[in-house]
Amino acid sequence: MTIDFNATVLQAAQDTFGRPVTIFPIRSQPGMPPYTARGIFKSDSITVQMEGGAAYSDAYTTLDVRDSELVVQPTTMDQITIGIVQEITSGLGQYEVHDVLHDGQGGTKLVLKRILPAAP
Amino acid sequence: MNALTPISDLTNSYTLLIRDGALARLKKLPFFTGFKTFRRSPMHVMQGDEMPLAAVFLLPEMMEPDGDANAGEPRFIHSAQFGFSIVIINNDDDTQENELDAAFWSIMNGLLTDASFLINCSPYPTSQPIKIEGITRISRQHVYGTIGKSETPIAELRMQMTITYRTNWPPVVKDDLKVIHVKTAFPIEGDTASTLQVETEYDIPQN
Repeated sequence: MTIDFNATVLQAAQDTFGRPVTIFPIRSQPGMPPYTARGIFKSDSITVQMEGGAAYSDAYTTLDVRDSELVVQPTTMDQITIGIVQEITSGLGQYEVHDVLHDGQGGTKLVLKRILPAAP
Repeated sequence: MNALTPISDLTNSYTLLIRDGALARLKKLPFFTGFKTFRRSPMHVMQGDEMPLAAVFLLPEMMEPDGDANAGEPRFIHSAQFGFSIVIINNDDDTQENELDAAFWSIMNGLLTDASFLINCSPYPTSQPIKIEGITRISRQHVYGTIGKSETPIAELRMQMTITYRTNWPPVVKDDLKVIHVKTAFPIEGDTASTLQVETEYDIPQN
């Protein structure tokens, strides 16, 4: 018997951990207005190796979305605003979708890059 | 550290003085005016709030004989490799590359056309001018945030420059020849008392 992972697991996970987000479909639907959705936001610490053995402390940040909740799947260069949910304020801000990883079971992991002011 | 702690050629190698000379000149270039952090050691892990960042690190240094290794005092041609790390933040990939390239060109113009860098590169007072003999290799690479994994839109110019200079290591003579004392004893195997003898000292001029 086949298990509907999307209905049994992903929906429950989104109901429990999902945060409201706003998706700006800049490349997936050019010219269309932003829309709201939900996703599971996650940020893991990583160390980036630099020149001469130096290291840079950064994060690998992703947003897991449920494909069946989205009419058009987000793609790279789309932008996403992570909103507040209850008292959780971590990760708030504007991101750009840098990579799209489908899990083959109804979920997609969007790899995010923060949108920051250019420096210099 | 943004402020360089002075070092001396009496206690440190010319290599570190060259590195500090490069970093000190880098800080004065217009391109690096808005940079928050300047580093010369990779010890501390860089943080996002330190960007944009410029660093000059010492990479491996090779010393090969200057002339015949088995004749005379030890003499070396040093080939010191320096790593320039310029880290910027920009979400636009085209602008990222333009900025990294501008950093590269700024370093090339700022260091290679600065005669003082070649003639006396140390940013601190030294006992003698620290001269660069040649720049034998330069390479560069643009690296973009660990192929997309890092959350911060960083991009890094990795530039490696090999600089050569010479040192020689003459022996330290602690028992200098300062005075020669001469006393004659003429004739040989004869009656020396019958001859007026000469006794004198030669004081050798010292440098």
